[in-house]
Amino acid sequence: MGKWTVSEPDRITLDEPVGTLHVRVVAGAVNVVAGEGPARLEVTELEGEPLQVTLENGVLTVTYQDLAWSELAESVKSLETVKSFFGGLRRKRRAVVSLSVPAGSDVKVGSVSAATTVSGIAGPVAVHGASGETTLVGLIGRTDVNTVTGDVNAQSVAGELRVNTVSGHVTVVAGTADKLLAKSVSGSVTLDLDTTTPTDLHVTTVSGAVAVRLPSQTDAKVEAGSTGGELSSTFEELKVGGSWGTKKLSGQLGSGTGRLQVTTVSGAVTVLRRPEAESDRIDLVKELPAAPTDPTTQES
Amino acid sequence: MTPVFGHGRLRLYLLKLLDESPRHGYEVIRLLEERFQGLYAPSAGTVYPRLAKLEQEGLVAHSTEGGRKVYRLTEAGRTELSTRQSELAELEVEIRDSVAQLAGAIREDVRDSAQDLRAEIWGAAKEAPRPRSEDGSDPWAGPWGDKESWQRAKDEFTQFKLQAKEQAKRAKEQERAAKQKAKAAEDEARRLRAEAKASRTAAQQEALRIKRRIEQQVKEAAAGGDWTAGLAEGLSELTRSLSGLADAKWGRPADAPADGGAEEVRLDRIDLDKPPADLPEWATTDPAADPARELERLLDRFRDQVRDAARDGGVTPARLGSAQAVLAAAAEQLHRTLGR
Repeated sequence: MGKWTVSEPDRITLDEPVGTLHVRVVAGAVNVVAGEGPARLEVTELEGEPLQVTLENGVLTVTYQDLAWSELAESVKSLETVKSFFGGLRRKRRAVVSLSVPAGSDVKVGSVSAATTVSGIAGPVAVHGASGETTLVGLIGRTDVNTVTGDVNAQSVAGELRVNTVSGHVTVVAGTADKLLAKSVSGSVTLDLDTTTPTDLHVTTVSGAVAVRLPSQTDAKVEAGSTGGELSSTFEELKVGGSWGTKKLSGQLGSGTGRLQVTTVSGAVTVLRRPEAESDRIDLVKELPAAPTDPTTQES
Repeated sequence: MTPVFGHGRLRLYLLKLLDESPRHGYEVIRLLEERFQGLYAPSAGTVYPRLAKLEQEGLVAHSTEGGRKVYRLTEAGRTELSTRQSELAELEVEIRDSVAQLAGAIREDVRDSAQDLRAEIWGAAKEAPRPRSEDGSDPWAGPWGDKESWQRAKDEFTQFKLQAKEQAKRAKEQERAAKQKAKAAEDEARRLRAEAKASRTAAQQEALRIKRRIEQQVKEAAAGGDWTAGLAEGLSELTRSLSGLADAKWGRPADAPADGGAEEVRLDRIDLDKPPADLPEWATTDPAADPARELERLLDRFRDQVRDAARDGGVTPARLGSAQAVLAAAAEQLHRTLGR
């Protein structure tokens, strides 16, 4: 059990084990990376209110005092406290918070406009934000992201990924997730899949364009419908049909064990074939079997 | 947050790696991963395009060794690297010491990768074929403006309507046929009942009449004194009449008395081999028709009955098995009956 108040850039090494991480900030940046050894906290930039850091029963919480729900109840007790609460919110608050926690941790990050980066975590990850950019790298558990205008970039993400956004662009680079759900209103969704194992992909947008790139030996049933958008594909197996204004791009790739479902009102939809791996890489994989973590080895 | 590892900086780092020694793409990725303390490996799909970009700018050249590309720094690349050496050194220290810098570097690189990927994919999307969209149909025209889809929808609807009509007609016909069958069966039953009753009353009346006539004959003979002749005559008459009665084909007795002359009873032959009354309706046959044809019809009706029962009750493997046994036994028996 520990409690710290951070009012200037600082570094804290936490000796107690950390299993869950909760971060709630306003602006700035939140970085969470997986690291061996004790958990570390770095606050490299701080403007405005001090941050409260608590570690209790393996739950590490980094937040402002009045952003904790229990404190919120305190602040509505009298007019003065309410005033000071909103006054506090009006003041500029900016913090760059970086944490290194064990890979298996459960991570929750909430912010208004902070850029959030989460890397190498195997436990469940949830990121909620309004306008901050979200970067996810090498996650293998369940990941939930909700943003309003912030872009979401995910690279080499496995497991289950769910993204909800209003106008942020969603981009998945070399994704190996078995389940991927992306919902967007006007943000585009670009998915690049680097796995031939059956994947369940589900994309819904209103006006956001959707592009999905799949390896050529994918096994999936494809169903992509758009009312107003153009449909295109480099897979010959996919055909366009439908009447009454709604067009549907559908067909089966390989044995059709996975699923790709795209629903959009006016967004364009394109399903592309991933270019074959460069020839020299395939040679190298044979020579260098000592790098099984690299996603490219799955292509051989 | 100041960009730590933007396009320029990763570029710089790539140049540094190639300055140390000529390397192939995979090695570059591995070394970058090491630099990120194993937390992050730039995707192969982004490193190769970057190397290609550097090559376009003339900072890097490649040669092919054993079927794979090996990249090396050019003179221009070396110059570029030396002018930014201090920047690079500073960056390296920052990244090694600070989670924030490391994460920042990862973020910059992923952002670049995502940008590159979007550019690449959306570029490819523009080139991708649009199956069947070349007919120039305006998607917003929908069912109103697009004649072809309107026509298609109309055709579908017409076809659907026709099918529905057809189905309704078929259902009606079936209903009518079922009604007719029921009525025919009822008529048949009524007819049989009436027949049986008529034959009974006719036989009773005939017997009564014979009795009366013979009584009268015997009385007359007895009154005439010649009662032995009368008895013999009466007995022979009785025998004749009764034998006529027993003959199922009897109609009006040849010597019908005047009082019974108006009465005419016709009876179809009652075959003793006729199936008992508790047989189902469908199993009744018309004895007057050609037996071979009747057998055919009987078989047809039998098949219909079995099929109807199967449709109503459903067929399970167990039921199929027992039906099979029953049919086999019946076929065997019929074979024996008809075969001889």
